Amino acid sequence: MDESLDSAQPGVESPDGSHGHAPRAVRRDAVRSTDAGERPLLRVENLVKHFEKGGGLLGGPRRRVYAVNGISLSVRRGEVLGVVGESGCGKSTLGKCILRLIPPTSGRVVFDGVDVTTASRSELRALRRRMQMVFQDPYSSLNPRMTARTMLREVLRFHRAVPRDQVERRIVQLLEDVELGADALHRFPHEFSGGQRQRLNIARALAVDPDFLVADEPVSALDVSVQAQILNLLQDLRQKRRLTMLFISHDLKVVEHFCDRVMVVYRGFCVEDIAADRLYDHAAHPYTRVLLEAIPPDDPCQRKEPQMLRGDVPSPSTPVSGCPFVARCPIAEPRCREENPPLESVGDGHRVACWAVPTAAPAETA
Amino acid sequence: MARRSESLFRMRLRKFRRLKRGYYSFCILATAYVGSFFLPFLMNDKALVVRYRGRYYFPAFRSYLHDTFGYHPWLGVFENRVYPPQTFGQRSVAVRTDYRALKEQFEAAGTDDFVILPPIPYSPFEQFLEEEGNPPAPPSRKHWLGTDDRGRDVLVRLAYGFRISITFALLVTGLSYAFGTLVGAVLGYYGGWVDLFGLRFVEIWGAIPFLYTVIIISSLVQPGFLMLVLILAAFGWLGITFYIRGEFYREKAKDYVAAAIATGESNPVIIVKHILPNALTPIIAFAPFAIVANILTLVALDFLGFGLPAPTPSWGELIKQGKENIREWHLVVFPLLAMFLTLQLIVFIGEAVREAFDPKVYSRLR
Repeated sequence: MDESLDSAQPGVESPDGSHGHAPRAVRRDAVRSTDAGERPLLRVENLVKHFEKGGGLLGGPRRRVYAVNGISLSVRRGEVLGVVGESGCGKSTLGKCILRLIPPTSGRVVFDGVDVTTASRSELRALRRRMQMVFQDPYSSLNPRMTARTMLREVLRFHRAVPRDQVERRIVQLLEDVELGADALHRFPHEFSGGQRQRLNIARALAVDPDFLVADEPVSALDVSVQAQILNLLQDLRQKRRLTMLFISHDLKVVEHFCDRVMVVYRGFCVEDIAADRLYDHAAHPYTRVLLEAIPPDDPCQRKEPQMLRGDVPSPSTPVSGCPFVARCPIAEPRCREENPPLESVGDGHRVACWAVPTAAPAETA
Repeated sequence: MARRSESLFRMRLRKFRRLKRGYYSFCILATAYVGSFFLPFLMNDKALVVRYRGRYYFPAFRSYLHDTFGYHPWLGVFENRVYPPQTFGQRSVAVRTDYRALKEQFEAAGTDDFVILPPIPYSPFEQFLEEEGNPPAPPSRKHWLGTDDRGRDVLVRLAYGFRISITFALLVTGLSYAFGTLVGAVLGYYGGWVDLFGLRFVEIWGAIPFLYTVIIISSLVQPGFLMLVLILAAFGWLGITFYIRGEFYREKAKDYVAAAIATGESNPVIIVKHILPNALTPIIAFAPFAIVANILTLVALDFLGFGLPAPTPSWGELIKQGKENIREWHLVVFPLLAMFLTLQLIVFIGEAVREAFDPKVYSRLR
C-alpha cells in the first residue's frame, strides 16, 4: 500500500504544499485543485450553529443559544486567517464546526472540494488526517493518563502515517520539531508546564502532517513570555510545512502580527474581514475600531482615553434582529435596528458589515 | 533521563502505600484472604501426611479409599474408624476416614507410622456431638471458640465463612462494576435519546424491590453461590452506572476527547482508551465500601435464611444462631467480632484509597 502511495506522489506534489500521502479520494481533488489555481483550500458557506438547551420529553422551557449565525469565509492555501472576537462570540464553535467536532445546524464546509458536513465515514477519516486542531486549554486537551509517546504513537498508528518501524523515530522527530527534548517521551501531561503542554498539543496536531490547522486560542492560556515562544514556533512550523491556518484569538495584536487576514466576529456574525497589515489604519467597522482602541499603548506613559462601549454583550440566547452590534454601537442609526447589514466589499479584499460604511463599486471587488 | 516518570495511578498507589493504617489493613486482609485458600491445609479433618507401613499418603491433597489405612496387622483385623455416611445438601458424601482416630491408634501402637494433622484438625461440616450436654458447647481447649448449635466448630466455620464472604463480595462487586461501567459509559458518552431512555430503564430496574425478588427466587429455587452472586450483581450495578455516566458527561466535554475525535478515532476506542481510564477514579475510591456493603448483604440474607444453602459455613447463619441462643455468649460475640474486624479493616483500606485517589491532588482543574 505504501508503495502505491509513493508512486503517486510526484504527480500530486503541487506548489501549494498538498502532501502526496493523503488518501485517495482527497488526493484526486488535490490534483484538480492545482489546475484550479486560486481555488481556496477551505470554504465555509453560511455556517450556522444553534445549540438547543432544555426541553425534552415533557416540554419545559426550550432555550436556544445562537453561537454562529451564518458565517462565510474562505482560506487560500498557505494563508493564515485570524478570527477575533470576545469570549462567547462563537469563534471556537466555528473552529469545531469546521472540523466537524460538532455538527453544524446548517451551512456547508468545503475542504479541498469535499463537503465536510456530509462526508462519509471513510471520507471523513481521510479528511481528519488533513485538518487538525490545536486546542485552547493546554490542561484539558491532553489525556492525563497518556505519556507524550503513547499519545503520539496512537495518532501515528491510527492513520498509518509512517511505516510501523519508523513510528518511534517519527515521535522523537516530532518532539524535536516542537522543541521538546527526547526526555519528554515518557512523561505525563502533569509533568509538563503550560507552554510544554501546548507544544505537545502542536506536536499531536502536526503528527499526521496536516495541510490545515485550526489553532483555537493556542496562546491565550499561557503567560506572555511563553506566548511569544509558542507563536514563534507556530510561525516556524507554518513556514516549514506550508501550513494553512485558521487562527482563533481574542488578541488583536497577536492576530495582526501572526495572520495574513483578519476576520472580526461579533455575536456569531462576521462584521469585518480585512488584510492584517491594513487592520490598524483601514478597519472600518465601529466594533473593530473600538477593539483597536482598547489595545493598551506600548508606552505606558502615553496614556490614552479608550472609547468605552456601553453595556455588555447581549446574552447569546437572545435572537439577533437588525445589526448584531446595534445595542452598543456608538454610531447606530434607526436603520440598524431594522436590518442586518450584509458583509460587503469595500475594495482590496476588505469586507465590512455596516450601514455606515460606504460600499465599494462592484468593479473594485476583489 | 533525570527521573522516572510516574502515571497518575502509580503516584496514587505510592500515596496509598504511605497511608500506613490503610496500607497495613490491606496487607493484613490480603494475607488473610490469600491464606484462606490454604484453609484445607490449616483447618481440616484430613491429615496432611500419613506414613503407613513405609509409604506416605497425602489425604489433604488427594483422596484415598476409606479402607486404605484400615487394616491393622498387629491386631490382625480390619478396624475401620470411619464416619457414618452423611448427607450434605443434596449429594451424599463418601465414607471418610477419621484421621484423628488414626493418629491415636498409630501413637498407641508406637510404630514408625505417623499422621500429621492440620493445626486445627476439624472440618467446617463435622458435628461434635460426643461432648457432654447438648450443643452449642462453650469455648474449650478442643474447640477454641466453642461449637454451634449443631456441634460444629465455630472457629473453623468462621474461617471458612471469611473466605466465602470475601470471595462473594469480590465477585459481586466485580460483576456489578463491569456491567455498571458499561451501561454508564454508553449512557454518558452518547447522551441524548440513548441517555434519556437508558436512564429511565435504569430507574425502573432500580425500583424493583431487591429483597422481595431474592425471596421470590429463593422460594422457587434454592439459589447456589453463583446464582446468588448473579442476583446481587443484577441489582448492584445501578449505583455504578450513575457514577460512570456522570464522569463520562464531564470527561467527554474536555478537549482531549475532541482531539481524539479530530484524530478520527472511533467511538468505542474513545470510550475505552481515552475516557474510561479518567472516569474510573470515583468508583475505585468507592470499591472498598461496595465490598463492605456486599459482605453485609450476604450476611443479612444468610441471617434471614435466604442466602447460601444450608451447610455452607456463613457468618450470617452463625449470627442468626447467636440470636436464637442469646445466652450462648460465644455464638453472639465471635461471629460479630469477626465481621466487625473484617469490615473495619476494609473501611480503613477504603479511607486510604479515597485519600490516595483524591482528584484534587496530582491534577489540575478537576
